[in-house]
Parts: sequence; structure tokens; C-alpha cells
Amino acid sequence: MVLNPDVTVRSRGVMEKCTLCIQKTQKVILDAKRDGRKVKDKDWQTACSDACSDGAMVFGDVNDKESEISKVREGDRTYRVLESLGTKPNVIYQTKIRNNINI
Amino acid sequence: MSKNNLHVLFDDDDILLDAIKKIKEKKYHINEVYTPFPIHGLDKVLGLKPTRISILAFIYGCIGFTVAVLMMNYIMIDDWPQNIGGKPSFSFIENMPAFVPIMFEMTVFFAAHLMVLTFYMRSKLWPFKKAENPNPLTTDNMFLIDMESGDNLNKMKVFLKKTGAVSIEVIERDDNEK
Amino acid sequence: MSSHYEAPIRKPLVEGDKSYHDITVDIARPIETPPNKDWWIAFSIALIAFLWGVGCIIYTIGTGIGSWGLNKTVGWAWDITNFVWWVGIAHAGTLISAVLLLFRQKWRMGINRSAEAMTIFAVIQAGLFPIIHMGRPWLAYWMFPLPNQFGSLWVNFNSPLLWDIFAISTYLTVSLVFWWTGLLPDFAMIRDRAVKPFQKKIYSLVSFGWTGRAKDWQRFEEVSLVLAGLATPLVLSVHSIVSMDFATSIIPGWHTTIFPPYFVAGAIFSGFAMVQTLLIIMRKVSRLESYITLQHIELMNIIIMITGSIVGCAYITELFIAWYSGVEYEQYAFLNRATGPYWWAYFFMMTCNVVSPQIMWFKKLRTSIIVSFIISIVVNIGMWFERFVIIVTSLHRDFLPSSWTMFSPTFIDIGIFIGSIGFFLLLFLLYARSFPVIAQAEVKSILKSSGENYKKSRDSDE
Repeated sequence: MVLNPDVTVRSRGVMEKCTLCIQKTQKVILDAKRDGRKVKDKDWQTACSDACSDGAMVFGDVNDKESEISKVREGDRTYRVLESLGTKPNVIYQTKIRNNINI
Repeated sequence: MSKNNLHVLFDDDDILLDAIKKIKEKKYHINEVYTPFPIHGLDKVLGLKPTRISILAFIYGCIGFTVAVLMMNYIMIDDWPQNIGGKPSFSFIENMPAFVPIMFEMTVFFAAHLMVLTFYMRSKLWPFKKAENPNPLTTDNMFLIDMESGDNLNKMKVFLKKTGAVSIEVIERDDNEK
Repeated sequence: MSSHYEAPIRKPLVEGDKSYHDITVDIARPIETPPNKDWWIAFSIALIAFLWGVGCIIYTIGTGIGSWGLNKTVGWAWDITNFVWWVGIAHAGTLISAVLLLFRQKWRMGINRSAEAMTIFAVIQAGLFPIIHMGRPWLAYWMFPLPNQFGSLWVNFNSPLLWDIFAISTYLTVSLVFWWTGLLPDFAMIRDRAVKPFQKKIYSLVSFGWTGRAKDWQRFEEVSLVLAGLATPLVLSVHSIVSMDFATSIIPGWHTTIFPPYFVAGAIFSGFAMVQTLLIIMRKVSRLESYITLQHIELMNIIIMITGSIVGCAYITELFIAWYSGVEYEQYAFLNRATGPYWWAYFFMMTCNVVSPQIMWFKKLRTSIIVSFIISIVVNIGMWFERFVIIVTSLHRDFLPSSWTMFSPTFIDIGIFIGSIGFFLLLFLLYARSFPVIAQAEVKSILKSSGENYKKSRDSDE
């Protein structure tokens, strides 16, 4: 989309496939490059994780072992769709906590 | 007396081969032989050097291989490496298995096409090229030897008839033109 | 004549009492005489089908892929089925020309020219589908690694879809060059016989001035040998690469290492069947039964039987591995093929591909022209269904049942397919009356060893 001027521009708010707000990420990287500093985990958010006031959506830098997203990834509640296929998607889910011994 | 060319026609490939052997024994000079199909052993009997075109094909293949490697290294590793399904995009060697099909195809492509082009150039074959076989029957069922007539034309004719020639034609030739 | 010796047990490859001149005349005849009514009827049917297909393609390009039956779940259907079917068919021609040359099988001489023509025409059909299945075919050039203004956005060399582009381009061009080089002496034969000035001009042009000098023949034979040596691994690689379009994915029923050899065997299987279909008709119509003999037909049937059996083994292996692996997705994929809503396609595939070639074990059946013709058509139908089953049944029900859906073709899907068959037949019909359909120079070179009259006089001497 970014590179292709021929793709029809959709109206505001229409997503076809989640790009994890790549344009925001690229802006942060370029600003940091210009300023001569390293990019840090909490420097930016995707539109959806920013909009979510309850903390249900977490976005961050998985290369940073101290970030919130890294902790979530290591957690017990974490799973991915069709995990056994080994595709390791970047979008992960957490199971609902149920009130019984076997989660 | 100007030297002449003889066009000697045969109608059988085995008789042709025998005739050529006998002609070579007598040390007469053969300019060219025109046949409708490849005759096994003809090049040896004529003393033709083996063709080096297959060596060239190998070299062209190596060129193709090199072009493929340089191209993909530049495109995938140097210029714009991308994280495609987590493939190792910073090292050609590590990503090399994915590049093998194209390395192979380009090797074959270069080897085949450059070899054929070389063949066409060396044998002078291209669109609009005029055919040079002196007798149109040499693409049908006749075999033609183009040779020097030597000093004694009649002796030649008798000799050639004995080898099995079907017809002998004398082509006048000025000494000025070669 | 000891250098022309051939064992008496070998059947003659040129029947009747033919001389070199007879070969010239017989092969020049379809070119030098006007076509008969049958040719015109076949030509008209092919032309209508072709034009219908062109119309459907124009509609597709104008309106979009929505005019096909594809949906989000079944993203590939008739388009890729047809692509793989045509590429598979193409492989037999190269195999006959190249592999049989390397194995010194003289029987290839009578059939290689037409088999290679079939290859070229089939690859043309195959090439149509990847182009028209793009949403924007006018941007097809984006598939090539050309420097550009998008930061030089390059193509992805990790992708089998890109390997396909290189493989099929190489295959088409190398086959074309192999075919055309072999044609030069034969075009020269027509040129030297031509009386009408237009014919003389055309055949002079396409024969590139071929003269038949000894050195030229020496190079010609060497070039043919090297091209054969290059084309053989090419044939194996091209269809292996096509199979990787599926094998490198994760879809159950696709993600299996058996695909490359399975596809290659299947390609040879369907290709020989198509050669059989075309040659059985052509030998009758163009009166070339002395050159395309029952022996040729029988040998091709044997290859069809062997490769059909290999394909059958592959089917059984897939079923076994699906069970043995314990992977429920894989198991369901095959259960669905046999018992799901497309079970009838699976049934066609199994009967046509596994059962029918087995009748070639019986000498009486594999030497019958009618049986050979019927089986060749049956095999091609079966192989189309094999690709359909692999593609559509694996896609329409994969990992998530919420995505499961059905596919049915639209008139456009069907029209384009029929159009490709029409185009193929059109090209072949035109070829049969303007090209020398048998490699006459090569056949002349084996006349003394394998001609019936020569063999008879040699065998009676012993």
C-alpha cells in the first residue's frame, strides 16, 4: 500500500489486513534515526492498543526482554491460532481465566 | 589452364563414404560435402576437427550460474533484505537452498541459448540467409562432393565413376575468384 | 553394411519399401497439398472454441476475477488446475526428444518432431493462465527483477511462484530452440522442393539458409546432444518446481515431500497420452502410418502404463502416510477427498488414472489403435481431475471449519478452458499442414538400419 500508488485509497477507518500500523513504526524509526537515538519499547503504540483503555491489547518490542509484550508472550495464558503449524504469528491471544483448577 | 571445381553426385551414403576414403588416398582435395542427413563417420573420414561447441556450452552455463548468484545476492541480501517468513535474509549461504531452482534454471537458459546462437553464427544460419547447397537434391536423397579437379580431368572422371558417382559436373572457375 | 546392423528381433521403425526419396515425398505431401474437408471441419471447431475463449478472457480482464468462481477459501481452482494440466502435458515432448535421445532410442525419430510441437503449444496454453489469473495482467512485467522507481522493489526469490516464472520461461524458450534447430534441415528440404515463389520465400526464411555441409551436421549433432542433456534435467526441474507451488505451503494434502516425483511422473503420464491422441489421428489423416508405426504406439502405451502405475503408487503412499502420520488434518483431507462433496471427482481420478492404464498389460489391448486412442483421452481427463482434486478439495476444507465452503465454476472458467483446448488444436492443425511433422533427416539416417525392406534383406541373408 505504501509503495503502490495504484492501489485505491479506501475511506478513513477501513482496514483490509492488519499491518500493525507499520507507518507509525516507520515514523518512529526515522525520527529516532534523525535524532540519533535508539528506539525504545514504549515510544509508540498501534492505533488499537492505544485506543484500548482497559489494557486488553498490548503492543511492543519483542526484542526488548523487559517490555510488557515480552512478559505477556512468556505467560501461561498465551496461545496462537493453529499453533501446531509452527507459523509463529505475531498476533497472540490469551485464554480466558476460568474458575477451575485446570485452565 | 584454370582450375575447375567438380560437383560429384552420389545416391547412397555408404558408397559416398567409400568414395571419400578413396579420394583421400589419392590425395585429391575435397572442398565440401553436402548431405541430406548426418552420416555417421563422415566427419572423421573428411578429417574434420571435432567441434568445441560443447565446451562453450559449459562455459556459458558457468556464466549463467554466476549471473544468477550475483543477481540474487544483490537483490535479496544486499539491496533490500526482507524478513519473509523468517528466512535468513542477511546471508546468501544460509538462504541459498531457496535460490537453487533459479540458479539451475539460469544455468540451463544461458548454456542452451548462447550455445545455439554460437552454432548459428559459426555455421552461418540466420533468417534471410541464402542457402548455398549447389544442388537442391542434397536435401532430398543425393550426396554431393565439391572437389578440385586436379590436372587430368578425364582421369578424374574415370576414377570417380569407378567409386560409384552417379554424375560429375565440371564447374568453370576463374583463377581470380576463390 | 555392417555399420547399419540392427538385431532382427527389433521391429522395423520405417515400414514398407521406402527409399530416401520416398521419405522426402511422404513428409512433404501434407505441406504441398491442400488440406481436406476433415481438416477444415476440425479447424473450424478449434477456431470457434478459441474465439469463445478469447471473448471470455477479454471479459475477465475487463471485469475482474470476480467473474470466475473463486472465493476467499478456494483461491485457486480451474485457473491453476488448467495451468498445471497444460504444463504437465508439455513435458512428454521434451522427454521424447531429449531423454530418448540420451538413451539412444531410435523409435523417437518418427514422433519427436510432433511431440515437441505439442510441447510448445501446450506451454503456450499453460503460460496463459498465470497471466490472466492476475487481477491486473497488464502489470505482469512486475514479476521480473527489473530495476524500478519503487525504491527498486524486487521480486521474492524465495517464492516457488517466482521459480515458476524462471522455470517455465526457460522451458518454453529452450524447447522452442531445440525444436527449431531440429527443423532447419527439414525446412531446407521443403525449400529446395518448393516451386511456388511464396512457398520458396517462406521456407527459405525459416530454414535460415541451411546447406547441409559436413561441418554443419557435425555441429548440429553435437548441439542436439547438448540440448538433450540440458533439457532432461530441465524437464525434471520444471514440474518439480510447479509442484513446489503446493508442496511448500502448509495446506493438508499439499504439504508433502512426495509431490515433486509424483508430479513429474504424472506429467509424463498425461503428456504421452496427449501425444498418443494427436499422433493416432495425424498418422491416419496425413498417411504417415509407415513412420508412426504400431510399434511406436505400443511403446508409448508401455510408458503410459509405467508412469500411470507410478502415479497410482503415489496415491496409495499419500493415503498411507495420511493414516500413519496421525495428523488429523491430513487424515481428514483424504477422507474428504474420497467421501466428501467432491467424491465423484476423486472417483474419476482414480478410475481414469490408476485402473485404465493397467489394461496395457495385455498385448492385444496395447496394440489396438482404438483402445490406445480411448485410453489416451481417458488418461487426460483423469489427470485434469487429479489436479482439480488436489487443488480444490484441499483448499475448500482446510484447518478452520468456519472457512469451509464449496466451489463451482462459472461459464467464464469453463469458457477459458475450452478456449485453451481450441487454441492448442488450432496451433497443432496449422502446424500439421505447414511444418514437416516428422524429423525426416533423422528418419533417413535410420532407414538402412531400421527400414523394413533393409531389415528383411539383411535378415534373409543370415
